[in-house]
Amino acid sequence: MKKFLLTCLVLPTLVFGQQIKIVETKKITESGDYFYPRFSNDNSTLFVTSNNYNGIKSINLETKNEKVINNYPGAGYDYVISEDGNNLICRPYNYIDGMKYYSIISQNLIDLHENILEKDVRNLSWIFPSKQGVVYVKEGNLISSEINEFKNYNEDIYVYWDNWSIIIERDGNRKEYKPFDDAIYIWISLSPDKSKFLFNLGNRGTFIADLKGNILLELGKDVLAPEWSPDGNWIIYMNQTDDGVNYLTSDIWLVDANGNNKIQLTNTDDMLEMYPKWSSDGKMLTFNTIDGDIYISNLSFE
Amino acid sequence: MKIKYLLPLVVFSLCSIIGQNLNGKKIYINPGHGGHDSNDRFIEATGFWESEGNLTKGLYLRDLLDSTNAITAMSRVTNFTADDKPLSTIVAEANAFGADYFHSIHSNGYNGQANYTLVLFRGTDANPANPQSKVMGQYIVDELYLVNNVTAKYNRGDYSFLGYYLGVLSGLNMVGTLSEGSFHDYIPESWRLMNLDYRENEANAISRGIYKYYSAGDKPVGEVAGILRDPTKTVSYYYITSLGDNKKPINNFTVTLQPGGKFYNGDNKNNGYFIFDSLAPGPYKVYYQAEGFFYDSASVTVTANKTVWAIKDMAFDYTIPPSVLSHSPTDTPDSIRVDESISITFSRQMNKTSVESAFNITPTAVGSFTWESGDTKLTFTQLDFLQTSTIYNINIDTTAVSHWGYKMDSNYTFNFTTKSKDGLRIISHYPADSQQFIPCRGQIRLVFNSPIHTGTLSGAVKLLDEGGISQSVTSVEIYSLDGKGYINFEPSVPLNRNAVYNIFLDKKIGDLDGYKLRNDIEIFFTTKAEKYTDGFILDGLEDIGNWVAPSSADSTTGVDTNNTNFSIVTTKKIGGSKSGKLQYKFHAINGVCQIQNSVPYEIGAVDSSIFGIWVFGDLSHNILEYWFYDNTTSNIMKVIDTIDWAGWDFKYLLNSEIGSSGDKQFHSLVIRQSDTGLLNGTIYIDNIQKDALTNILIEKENLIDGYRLYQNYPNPFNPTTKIRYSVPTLENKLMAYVQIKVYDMLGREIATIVNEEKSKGNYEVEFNAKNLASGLYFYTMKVGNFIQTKKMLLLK
Repeated sequence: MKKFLLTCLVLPTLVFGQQIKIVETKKITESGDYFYPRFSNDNSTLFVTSNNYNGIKSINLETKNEKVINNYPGAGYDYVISEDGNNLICRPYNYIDGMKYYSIISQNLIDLHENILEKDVRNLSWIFPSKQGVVYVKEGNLISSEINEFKNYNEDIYVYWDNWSIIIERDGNRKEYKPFDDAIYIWISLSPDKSKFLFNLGNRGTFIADLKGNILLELGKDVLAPEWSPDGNWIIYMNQTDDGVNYLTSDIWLVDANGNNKIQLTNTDDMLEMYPKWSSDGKMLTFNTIDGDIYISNLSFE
Repeated sequence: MKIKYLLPLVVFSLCSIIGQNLNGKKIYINPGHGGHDSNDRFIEATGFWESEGNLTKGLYLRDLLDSTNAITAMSRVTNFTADDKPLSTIVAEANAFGADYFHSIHSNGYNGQANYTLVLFRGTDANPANPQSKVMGQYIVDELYLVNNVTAKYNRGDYSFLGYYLGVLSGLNMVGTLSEGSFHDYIPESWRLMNLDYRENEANAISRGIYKYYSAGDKPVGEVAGILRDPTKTVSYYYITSLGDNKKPINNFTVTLQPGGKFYNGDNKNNGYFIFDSLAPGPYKVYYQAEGFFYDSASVTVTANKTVWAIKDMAFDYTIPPSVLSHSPTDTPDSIRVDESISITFSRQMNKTSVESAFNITPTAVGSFTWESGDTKLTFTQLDFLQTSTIYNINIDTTAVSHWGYKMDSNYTFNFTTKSKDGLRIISHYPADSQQFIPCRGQIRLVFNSPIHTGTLSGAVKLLDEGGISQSVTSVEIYSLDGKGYINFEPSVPLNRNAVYNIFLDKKIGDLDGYKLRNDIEIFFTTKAEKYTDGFILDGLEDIGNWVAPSSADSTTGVDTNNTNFSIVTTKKIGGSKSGKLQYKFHAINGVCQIQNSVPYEIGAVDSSIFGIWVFGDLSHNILEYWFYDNTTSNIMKVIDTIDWAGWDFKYLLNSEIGSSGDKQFHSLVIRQSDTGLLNGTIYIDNIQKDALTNILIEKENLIDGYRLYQNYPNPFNPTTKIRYSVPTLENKLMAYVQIKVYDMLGREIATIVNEEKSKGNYEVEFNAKNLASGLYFYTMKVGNFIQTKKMLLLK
């Protein structure tokens, strides 16, 4: 296992007059196939999956006990936790005739009881948590499942990719937004105050746009896998380089929501830190390395 | 959207894919790398960029898949660096797209000596991250192996094959593979990859693997592909014989297919590749036609959904008369440099002897012939430079025959005119070649006909002793004056007495116009045998003392006083830290420049006492005189020497030689302008002395510690050269029987140039090769058990 250079991760930074730094970093897993970690709503647990998103496990951060949530192919990609924190809703797939058909399965995180909301649908994408259930996109339409009641959903704001466009759904009104061209727009996420959203176009970089489709900010081509902080003041992201086949470097950076300061949080020569995620209180980060190890860093705001 | 490279997309016709249907399967295609930048791979020998190869294949593949109802997305459709996306966004795009299958297209590179097909999937061989990726990989690698000219195929887990996981296959939420169709750094394959149809058929093979994986139906048609090669010629780069790549591919051929009358014109990119597609299954005849080769044909049977190879080694048509394809120099308005070689390229392998005999250059120039490119290209290199401002005519008459004995149809002749600028030559030097009695503290002076480019001098000028050991030198001066180049230097320590030294000038020495010496130059000289021991120093020239300026001296006449002076300087010296420097300029011949000491030096009356001065000569060929007073203060003028040396030498005479009797005084040193001397110059003097000791180094011969055979000079030569050898002191006899013979490359004795008894000493003999052909020869010295052989090159 590569030696972790803790000192290199402690880079004090100053944003909005605050000094932000990583004060402690812990390795959570021994070597293995652990990728794309995220915190539970109460930050007591990490959810992780495998490199190719097969299955989901939880890791109790106090006991380090691991629990298999499920082993479904693709379950670890684009899953959500319900707002009350009681359920995990994932979108695993089955290959049928060489094509992926998706299901939506809600699992109770206590007893792992499964509730299958959709079964083997070809075009089923993007799950969003809602107060009492889940909202997702089925055959291009936004569907809400609340207590097993399915209906077209028109009571909130959702932004996602479909039909080579960014779709902005606002109170039931659907708008197709193509800031550049027909393309696959990725890493689309609504800000916590739901006033703007992040998106990335691979050869253009990461941008912030308002709900009318006006680009407010160009964050740059180095901003990858960006995620809003819970208070919406910062965006954490990874900055990676590669040779076209392999990753060469990857570190975690912060940028303020106005795009004014880019701050490097990690700077290790022997480790590639990737896909950072915030805790719900904004005081911790979790990320995985290219080698499949999971870390948690505590942040200090002074 | 701007397209940087407009790629000729020749999509296989729809009729060829009837029955194939991918029914909305989502496939993401990643043409690897992109943009001719640091993460691209470029093969300089062929001009191949991997980014371009990958993109071409990717676009072909996309069109094939789209035409069979797949839904495709590509990570890039241009070859801009700006469009070369980070790996994490490529993977995220494929996931967001909901791709059922991801494929990354590459070509491989290693050490230029491998060429196999490789498909990788994430995981180990036994435990793929997604088992279907391994299944897909096998289908694709099987198809690639059938269309690319490779040695083997491998479908491997990336971790098993590489020892690590590939970044581009990391994080895929679907079946995913990466193909390295072949090796772009294996030059024969790199040339094939320069053929767009070769790339297209690789895309065709990938699509065939995808169709088979999905059971999406077979093409009802097939292809015939082939490579035309010349089995009589071997490529100049690394090749794998089992692939047939040792044989040189043929360019610009035509292949016709019957029935159907389709034809394919081969490109000029050294691959010999052709392909016919969309062929109904059945028997066909392939007709091959290439200039210089016999017409040929082959029968093939086309199978549906498969590429059939029809590789052909063409038979060379040796009956065609040879012709000249090109020559240089070409007839251009600009005249030709005098160091230009003459090259003639023939249409086929030639009989070298016949061509060299048929070659005629007017005015006559002596040179040598070299052949390359399989005896198709002749180069004539002149031993000396061509003449300046001269019209040359080159003629090859019809006695020149091909390797198979077929004559040229007609004479081939061309002219060119040389420039007025001559090549770089050394026009004078001190010491002269074979000059003897050179002062051990002498200065080497080299004069060239053009100013020297100092950047060409590194390691190019050497002073070598008899053993070939380079001597340290100092006071190096490199300058130009009046359009000439000068190089002066001195040995750092005095040279051995009565020893042979060699000034070696490498032919890489060049002038400011890029002309270089035509050949290496060696200048041999022998140092003086005399040994000097300082006597009583009358004046160390450490200060001006009582020396009177030349303009104020009693007898100075005919000098330009503004440019004549005597001073004490530190730049050169024999003893102490300074010496006297006399810079002089005469108005005309017969001038006298005197430096006079107002307080003459007493040198006594002992006949055997030696009076002398160290004088740094300037090669002016003026007369050096010392002037004395006898005991009656009558002036005595003694001619000491003609200043025909450069550097320090001790110039002396016996007291008895001064003449007169009684005590004498030295008071002046004089430069007297001679008829053949220069009008200006600079000498230095130091350590004026009496009672000096000198002795001729008779014992020097005893220093010859063994028989020696030296390198001939000049070398190369035409037609004469000199060979030096030494005979040491002999035990129990006065003479040794010495033989020196010359042999050719086959060991045949050519000449005996020494065959007699010799006493101890250094000798030189001239060898004349006027009746011999150009080439390498050996000369061997044999004395008793001593045998030594050296090489020499005759260039006519």
